[in-house]
Amino acid sequence: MFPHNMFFLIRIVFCLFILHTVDALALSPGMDEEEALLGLYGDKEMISIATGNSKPIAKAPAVATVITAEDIKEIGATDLDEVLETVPGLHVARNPRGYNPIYTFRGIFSQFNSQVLVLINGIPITNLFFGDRNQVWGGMPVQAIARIEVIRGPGSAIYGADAFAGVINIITKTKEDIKGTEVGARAGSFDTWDTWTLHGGAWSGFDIAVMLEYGDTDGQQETIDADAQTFLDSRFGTDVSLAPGPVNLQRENFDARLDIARGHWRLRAGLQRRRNVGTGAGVAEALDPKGRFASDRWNADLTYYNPEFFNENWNVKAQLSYLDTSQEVEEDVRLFPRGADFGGIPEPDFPVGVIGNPEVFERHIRFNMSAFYTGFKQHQIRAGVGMHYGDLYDVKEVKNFTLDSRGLPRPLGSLRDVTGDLSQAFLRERDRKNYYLFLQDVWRFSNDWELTAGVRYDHFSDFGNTINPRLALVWLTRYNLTTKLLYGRAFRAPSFAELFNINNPVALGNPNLDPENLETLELSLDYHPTNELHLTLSLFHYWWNDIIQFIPHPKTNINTAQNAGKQTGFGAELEAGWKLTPNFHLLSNYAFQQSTDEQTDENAGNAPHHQIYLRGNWEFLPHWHLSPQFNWVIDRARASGDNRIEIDDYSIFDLTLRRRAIKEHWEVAFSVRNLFDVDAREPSPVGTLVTPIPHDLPLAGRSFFGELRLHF
Amino acid sequence: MGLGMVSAAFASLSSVAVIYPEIREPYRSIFLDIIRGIKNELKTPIKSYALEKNYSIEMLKEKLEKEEINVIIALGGRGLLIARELQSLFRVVVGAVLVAPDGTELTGLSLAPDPQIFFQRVKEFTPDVQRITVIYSQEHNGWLIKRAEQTIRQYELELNALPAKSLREAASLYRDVLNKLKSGTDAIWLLQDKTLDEQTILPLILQEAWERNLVVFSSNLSHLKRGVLFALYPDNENMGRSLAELALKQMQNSENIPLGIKPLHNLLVAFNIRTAEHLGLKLTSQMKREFGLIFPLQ
Repeated sequence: MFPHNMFFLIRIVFCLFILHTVDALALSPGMDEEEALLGLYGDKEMISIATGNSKPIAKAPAVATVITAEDIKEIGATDLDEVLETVPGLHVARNPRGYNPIYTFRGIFSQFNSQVLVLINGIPITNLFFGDRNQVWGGMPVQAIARIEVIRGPGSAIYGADAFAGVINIITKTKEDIKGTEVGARAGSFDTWDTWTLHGGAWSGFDIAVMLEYGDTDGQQETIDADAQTFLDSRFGTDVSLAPGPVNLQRENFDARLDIARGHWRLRAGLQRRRNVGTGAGVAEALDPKGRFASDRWNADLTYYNPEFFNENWNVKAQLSYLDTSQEVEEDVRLFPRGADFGGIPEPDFPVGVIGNPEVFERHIRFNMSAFYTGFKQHQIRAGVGMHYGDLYDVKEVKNFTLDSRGLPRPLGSLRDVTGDLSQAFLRERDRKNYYLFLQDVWRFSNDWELTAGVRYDHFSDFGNTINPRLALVWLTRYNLTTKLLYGRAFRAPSFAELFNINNPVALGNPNLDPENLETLELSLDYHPTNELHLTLSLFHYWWNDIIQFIPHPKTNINTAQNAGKQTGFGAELEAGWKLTPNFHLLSNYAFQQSTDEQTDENAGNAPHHQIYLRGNWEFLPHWHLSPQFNWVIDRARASGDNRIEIDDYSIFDLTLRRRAIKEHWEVAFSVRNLFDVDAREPSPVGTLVTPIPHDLPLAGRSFFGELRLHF
Repeated sequence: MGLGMVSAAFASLSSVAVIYPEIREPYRSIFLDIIRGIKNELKTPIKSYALEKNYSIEMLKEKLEKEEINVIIALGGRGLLIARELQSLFRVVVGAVLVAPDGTELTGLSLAPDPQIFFQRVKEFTPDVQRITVIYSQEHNGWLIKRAEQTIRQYELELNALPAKSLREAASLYRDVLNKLKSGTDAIWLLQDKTLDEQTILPLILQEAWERNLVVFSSNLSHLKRGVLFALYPDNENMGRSLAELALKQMQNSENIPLGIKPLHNLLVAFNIRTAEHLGLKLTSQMKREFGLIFPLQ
């Protein structure tokens, strides 16, 4: 594939070169006015910040990337995952189940991806069941997002559990971000429709923001040519597999968010409703075109923030939050299709298919309070306490099978509601309490040197205590160069599936698990050689220990969760932002990682060893923006024990054309994604005896989207 | 073509018109923020006209007469041209344009920050500084330096103003002067001026200032990112309010005598904390709260 990709790269570089050359010739009306203003404000970015169109970004305590609402428009992204793929050192892979995203930071890959903490407005949306964002994820639309802060590397000393491989904090819009009312709609390939309304204004002394988004899609329908049932067909002499057949990625999303602020107080509430959610490549990696999931995620938080609590040296924040989240089944989910047989009796074991409808309901309450004291001359102290109560309060299951000791389904006779039946249910209802406290000191021991030392202690009701420190040494090396040396330790809390799974010989829980832990050492350089060029380089080394894996018992052959794995890795990320002309800027990054499974001493696999990303933004006429984007995913090794041929590299080219300020209030955009219709695939999981989907998970081919916005 | 008219106000008879250039974002937001300030101050509907580059003055005049406009607030370079054309027919206030007070028979606010505000801030942020060095072009900033000289004494500061005729002369002046400046007590003021080359001279100044702990401040916001301690930039909405006040004064001015051009007082502070840390300056929370922008962005 290398020459093929090379061809694309040359084509892209050439395209960008052409854009740049043409740009020098483009004459822009109003240039005289612009020149005068540039003398005062410097550049467009500064004007944008000074006029409040873009917000100053958060100063992150680690190696971080911030993506603004403006970047999201530039990318032409319709979903969070398209945005995250542009972050250096982060690659979005797919789980066969619902094609749930696997946010792979720096080679840290796992099917349920519980090593990544996703926050909305600083509040975790992690579910207890699998430690992920919910098994029925269904994507996340982007119109309500003001910015996304992505921290690569561990953040447990501040954020606690699961701030492990990386932290993704999604910050929603407030009144200032919206300024008025926006109504928009988008339509495109795969019968996709999206519509949104945003309003930000003041009412009776309150700042109010209301955001509503609705989307419906059939989803991409690339073909899976062989699945788990294909293998079973060959083993048991049946012919019922639905492969070759399309993946099932339809979904209907409704997202509502409310943000009310006054003085020191802010109240936020939201609903992420997912309906008609397809099963992806199948829950058991056998195609299921009819199964449908649903999910509701309700959230609310009340935040008090006072930068001068007692006096100007005290900055205090307190937050109470609530999250209710569900995984529900709308239409029977078939693990294996109609006519599936496992060799038990002469007739098919499951004439209507193997049906399993697991439902899980959780609620989470969190409270935290932190104070920042700046009264000392050389020290800034930050301290905080908090608690989290997570309750997996309802587990329901309707199914027509039970599993034998080999993990093969046996008929239960009919579809039975086994809710509450501990001999059949997949999980016990449980809760978890977590109390924590943290302390951090930023010590400025000389004008150009600063040492941050922080530690967080966590107590968990189910697996005990954990202490996670963090150190950061920052050196202001030159007027345009900053050097950082960072050390951090992080932990990943075992999920309830890993702790408490029952009646599942393929994956039995183990209440004696310890959390996974990760230590990372990083060196980072931030360099502004000129006003037009910004470079950052990060070098990292990590040690990932106590990885939880389902290991077969030597006598019973039953898989039980154990802290068995160990992985180490190192790599580098280079980012460059370059304003070639006032009307053309180029953003690029290159990420490299090499990770080793220490048990086998082989490559840890699945994650790309190299990633190259390029994006241009060219305002070729006033208000006309063209943004080409190129993403090249290179060299993904197979994991140890996976003997398939290496998965192909891929390079995807997207293009977005946007026209702003038409008749003052209107804006239109047109996007094409995967312009060259490249066959891109993400690795499917490897099995112990057989790999259910041998030819990996195909991503969407060429697709088109048009959008229209009205802002008033 | 010609006049691209956008009525931002309600359709009612009003006597104030704002004329601003039709221009792309984010530049356009500057004018929209100024207009918001004007509206907030006047609290009456106003007419606003976005002018395309090839506007027709005749058509505009016709419109303004038809709308029975009393006073025009003309913004930007295009606004300045209009103001000159129409000041015999209407009362006119100019704003959001770099214009010197000398040699112009106009009323309005220049975009050039008032030096006095700089000196006030220098005293506040770096009380040890005694002398401010500025290299400038007589042609472009002579008037500003004259004003600086008049106001600096009240701040117990000394102004070391060095005129330069060309980039080359400015470069050699910078080289000479940088060697002589003293850490802690000397500061450099960077003007919006043709004698400052962003690619060659600016990095030299910033590097030398960093190594020798010299204070550098600027009237160009983007210099903040490069490492100057602070910059002043227009507070657009309040600039709009000041323009509205001037418009009201002009309406009461029965003789229609020009009130002159004043440098800008409506300014916000952009502050570089990284540079402040390097210089060992301690900032109070009160100071930080007053800043319009803090770098590195947080």
